Amino acid sequence: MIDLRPLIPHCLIVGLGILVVLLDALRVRRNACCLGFVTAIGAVAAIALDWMGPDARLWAGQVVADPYSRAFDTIFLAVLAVVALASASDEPHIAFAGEYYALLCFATVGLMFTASAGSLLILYVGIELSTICLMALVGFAKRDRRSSEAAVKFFVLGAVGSALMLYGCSIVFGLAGGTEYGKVLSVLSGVGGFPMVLWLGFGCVVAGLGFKIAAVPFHMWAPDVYQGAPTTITAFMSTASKVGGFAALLRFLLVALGAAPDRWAPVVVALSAGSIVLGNLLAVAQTNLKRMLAYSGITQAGYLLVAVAGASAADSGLAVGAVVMYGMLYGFMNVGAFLVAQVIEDHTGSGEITALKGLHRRQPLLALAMLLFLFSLGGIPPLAGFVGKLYLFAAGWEGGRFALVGLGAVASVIALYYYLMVALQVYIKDPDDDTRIPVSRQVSLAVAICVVATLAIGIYPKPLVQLGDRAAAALHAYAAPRPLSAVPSAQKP
Amino acid sequence: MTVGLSHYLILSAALFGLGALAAITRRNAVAVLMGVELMLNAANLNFLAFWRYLTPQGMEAQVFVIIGFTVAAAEAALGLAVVLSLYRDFGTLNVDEASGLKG
Repeated sequence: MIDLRPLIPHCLIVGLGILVVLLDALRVRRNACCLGFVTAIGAVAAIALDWMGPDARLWAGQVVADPYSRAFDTIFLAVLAVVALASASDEPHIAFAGEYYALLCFATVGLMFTASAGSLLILYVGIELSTICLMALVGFAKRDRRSSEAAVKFFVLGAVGSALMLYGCSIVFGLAGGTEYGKVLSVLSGVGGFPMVLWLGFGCVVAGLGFKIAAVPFHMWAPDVYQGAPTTITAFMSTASKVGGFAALLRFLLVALGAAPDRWAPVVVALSAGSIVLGNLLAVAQTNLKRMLAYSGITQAGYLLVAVAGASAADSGLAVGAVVMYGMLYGFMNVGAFLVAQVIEDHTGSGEITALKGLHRRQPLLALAMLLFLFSLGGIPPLAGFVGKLYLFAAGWEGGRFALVGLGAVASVIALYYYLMVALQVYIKDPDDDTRIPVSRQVSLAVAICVVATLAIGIYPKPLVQLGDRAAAALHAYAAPRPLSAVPSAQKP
Repeated sequence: MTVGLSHYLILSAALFGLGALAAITRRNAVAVLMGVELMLNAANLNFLAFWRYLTPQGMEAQVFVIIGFTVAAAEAALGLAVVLSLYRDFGTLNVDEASGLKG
């Protein structure tokens, strides 16, 4: 009999999805906003249940429940809770509110399985579950031309990415006779770590994950989709979905391909450098706030990849911890920025950066929150983004990626320009009209949570650092007795 | 001449290439969908060939293929819904004509 207790939180979230659809059908007062609260409470309960569950490897290692997967589950569920809360005020206006929350829940379950995946099979299932739900959510505003267009673009590129990934899985299966990471590692170690054919399989799988994390050159969909999708969905995609891709990427690279880190590391370095440079350059030119945040998200994926590249050499503990930590704080600060963008867009009907003109006079608290999010994204101390970026670059440095860390540091300075341009509109420019911008209670609460998290993590990061250390130790133990890196000496970049 | 593993792999690679070509070059959203289905089925063919010739006693490849089918079906259903919503809003099935989002 298999002990299924580690899967209780997954079942809870699936049940929650079904429950909100039923509640929506039974709802008497159409103007109540209860579904968002139910979803948020369910998500928080799932975090608690997740940490109470035992560590296990189910079905011969296909699904792995350990602190590594739990740390990432916590990120996904926290983002789900905040996004659900922020959507609650719109609930009376959107058709099919129940289905909206249900799809969000199912997408989160997909991401949770992605983080727990111990084989390419489960990885593929998790990625597809979340991507397919998100495809439906991107096109959720059916009568909005931008939403339909975004859905078509996301669908075409997402489907090609999914097919590439399945093909890559089949090549890896053919080489290793199985896709459980431990088995892949032992077979690959026997044939020298990285046979030529593996390049095809590895390339296809990384391309599929590259779509998920929106790293250059697989980023083409991100700006259009982020701009056209309902903003709460953009907030979810740009954080939870991106971090989910990293959770899968780290486990796949460090465990399944752990025998030949010197082979895959250059690919990660190239992805990272491309994302940092291109994301930054294009972000500077944007006039639409959501598009600017999309390109800034591509750059942030590049920063995260610096740590992944650093994980290839020597001790990977710092890198894994840094990715967990940055994933968590990036979730809060980026969701917060998108929520402010949504409030402005709903009120003024414009997504341009100039729509934020004089926000400090029209809604001082919201302006302050936006300033904090922008500074945090830019990495200004003492906010969370600074500590997180420091850890990412430290991990890259430890791994010997000096040139990449230098590039990231220079890019961070350039990035300040476009974040401060928005802050300039918010604080320095005078508004066209002085009318107050109303913010619903639900959205205020969601933004307040993001602000508190951004400040608290920046000032007192120790608990999150410990969480990252636990996750790293768990991944290390998962890879043992096979050592994480078969090449002991640190490589030069 | 006997048909061996390599023949299946070549066939599936050709299928995959044709599917990718269709998905990238065709502008009609339904044709893109068909291209993606070809790519998914190429991967499934790979799995079955590897299973038959390399691990005939294992089950993982078959599970993978069943999941591949399921994903393909879900993707096709959702894809058609998305295409329908494209047609309603833009009056066309050409993915290039939906180009309101730029920057």
